Amino acid sequence: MNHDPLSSVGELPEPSAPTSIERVVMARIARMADAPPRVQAVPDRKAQWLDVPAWAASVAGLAIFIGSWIAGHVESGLLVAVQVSPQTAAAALVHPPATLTAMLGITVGSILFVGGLFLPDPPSFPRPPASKNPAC
Amino acid sequence: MTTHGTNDEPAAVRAAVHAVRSGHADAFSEIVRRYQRRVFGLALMVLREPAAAEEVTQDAFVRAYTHLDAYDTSRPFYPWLATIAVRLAQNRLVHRGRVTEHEAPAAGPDVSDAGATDPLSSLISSEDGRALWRRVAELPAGERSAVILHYRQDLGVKDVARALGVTAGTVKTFLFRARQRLRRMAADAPGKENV
Repeated sequence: MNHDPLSSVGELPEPSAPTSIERVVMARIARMADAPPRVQAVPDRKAQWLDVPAWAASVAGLAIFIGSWIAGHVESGLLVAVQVSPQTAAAALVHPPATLTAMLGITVGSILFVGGLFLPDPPSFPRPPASKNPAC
Repeated sequence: MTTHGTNDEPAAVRAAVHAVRSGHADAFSEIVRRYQRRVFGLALMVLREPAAAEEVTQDAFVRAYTHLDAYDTSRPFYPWLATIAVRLAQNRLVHRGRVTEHEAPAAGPDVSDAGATDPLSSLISSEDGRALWRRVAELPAGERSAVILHYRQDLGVKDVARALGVTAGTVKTFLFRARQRLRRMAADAPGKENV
C-alpha cells in the first residue's frame, strides 16, 4: 500500500455539536459577569507580619552585622537581633538597606568563621616544671 | 478534506474578540456559534464519549473567554482555541486513567468494537471510512491527537506542537509512527480493507 493511510482522515464526517453548547457557555459567562470578583482583597499576612519600621529593621541589620563581625559566627549576629525581636530580625533580612547591612555582616562573619576552621592549631609551649617545694 | 485554513480567519471572529475584550461579553456567542461544531468534533475524536466531549467543549469556550487577554491577536484564533480544548481533553483522559506512559494501542473499552459504541462510527457511511476511524481510534493518545489536529483540523505542525505542548519534531514523529502503525493495522486486518 503506497498511499498515505491518513489521507482520508479529513473526509470523516464532522459530528454535529449539541445545540445546548452555546446556551450553556453563554449562561456560564453571564453568571461570571454577575458574580462578585473571585479575587477578594486578602490581607498579605507576610507583609503584615514584617510590617516593621525601616529604622528598626536597620538597627536589627546593624546588630546582625556587629554580632557576626565580632563573634565571627553568623548565628551569633542573628541571635543578637532575634533576642530583640524575631519580627525585627526577619525584617532586617527583607528590608533593602537593612538587608545589605545584615548580609555584609553575615558575609564577614561567615568568612571569619570558615577561615577559622582552616587556621593551624596554636603552637604548644612546654609548661614550666612544677615546683618541688611543697610550700609553693 | 475540510478546509479550515488558519490564514482565512474570519473578520467576524476578530471583531468578536475585540468586542469581548472591550467588555461586550455577548459578542462571544459569535465565536461559540462559529467554532462549537469543530471544537466538539475535536473533543469527541480525542475522548470518544459525547457527554465528556460536550463538557470539554463548554469548558474550552469558557476558559477561552476568561483567558482572552492572553490570546495573541496576531495569530489565528482557532489554533489557540483548539489548544485549550485538546489540553482539557487530554487532562480528562489522564484523569480517566486511559493515558499511561506507554499506552497500549488497544487500550480503552470502546476500541475493539468501535463500530458499535463509538458515536462517530455511526455517522460514517462507508465501510472504508469506519475501518479508518476504528484504526485512528486505536492509536495511542499522543499520536491520535496529532493525527486529528493535523489531518482533521488542518493545523500546521507548529500549531499542533503548541497545542500538545511538545516540539515540532515530536509531532512529526507522532505522525510518522501513526502512519506506520495504520499501515501495519491495514496489512494485518482480515480482508485488508483499503484505507
